[in-house]
Amino acid sequence: MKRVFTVLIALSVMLLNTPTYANDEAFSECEYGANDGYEKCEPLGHGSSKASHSAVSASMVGWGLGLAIAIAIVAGVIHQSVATHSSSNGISNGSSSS
Amino acid sequence: MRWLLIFLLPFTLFAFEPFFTVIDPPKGWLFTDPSKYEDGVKVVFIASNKKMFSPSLTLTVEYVGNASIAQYTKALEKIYRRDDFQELGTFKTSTGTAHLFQIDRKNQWGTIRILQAITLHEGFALIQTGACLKKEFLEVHETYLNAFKSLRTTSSILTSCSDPSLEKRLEEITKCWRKLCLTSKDDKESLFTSSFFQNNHWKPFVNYIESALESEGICWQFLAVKHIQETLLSENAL
Repeated sequence: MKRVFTVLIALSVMLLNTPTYANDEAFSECEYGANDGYEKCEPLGHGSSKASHSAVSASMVGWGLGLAIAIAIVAGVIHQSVATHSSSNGISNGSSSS
Repeated sequence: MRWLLIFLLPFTLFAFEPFFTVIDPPKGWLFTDPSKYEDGVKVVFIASNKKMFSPSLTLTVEYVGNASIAQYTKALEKIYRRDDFQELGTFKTSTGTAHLFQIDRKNQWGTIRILQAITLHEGFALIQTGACLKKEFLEVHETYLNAFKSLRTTSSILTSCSDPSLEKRLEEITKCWRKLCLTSKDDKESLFTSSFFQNNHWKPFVNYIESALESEGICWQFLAVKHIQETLLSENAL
């Protein structure tokens, strides 16, 4: 019985072409037919969306550089601390062996 | 008739704008890396590369066919339904009436304010976008409006340039390109990036635009090179 229901539900989803979530419907249709015949069928307004995305991404360039500098500083500090730790271990090992 | 339709088919697949668009960017703003531009994005500027979140300005072109501004606005309302979307009004540019929109979006930096001016022209939407932090908006809003108002389009690149030597140089490169396309079986992208075309024709042409047409401004030069490249690759004619 469970299998029959599973098959029926799967078939109805496939045959009815129901969107699985809201975004499926929002981004797959060619709204208003405005972009019919264009290289890619994209919904009206996709240019505005791309423009907003590009503008915000460009604004974050400084953040990317800041992050890279922060990573470099942290990496440098860790490297220095490891070097200090290993050299101090070497001294203590040396002193214990003598 | 059928043969005519088959012949015209490749031209319907591409919708490259049949006009040249240029803006005057704010003084001192910097170009961003063009290799990272998305499809349709013509140029992107940032105010500074030293700030964590710098104000930016983009020019984008989208093919919209016969869509009206009311239809476009309805589409925007749907796209920005999760943000605070507002229609602010209109202003005049030499290309036509621009419609101004404001989008406030919350993220880890606080609220980002996106100001977008959209002008419909010959089946294309000319989209100018400014993004900044909401708290910095008052400092840059006039800069954005001045840049938005500077939008202008010309029917061809030649009419936008005061130097008559461009026509001859453009004719030369178009002739070479057509000849190359006719004699080679490679696709246009490969032909364009081939060392033969790049070294003998394209690089000298770009050098000419950079040196001889400096008076047109760096934004014009950048957009002109991009426009000519796109035209050669899309339609094989200028």
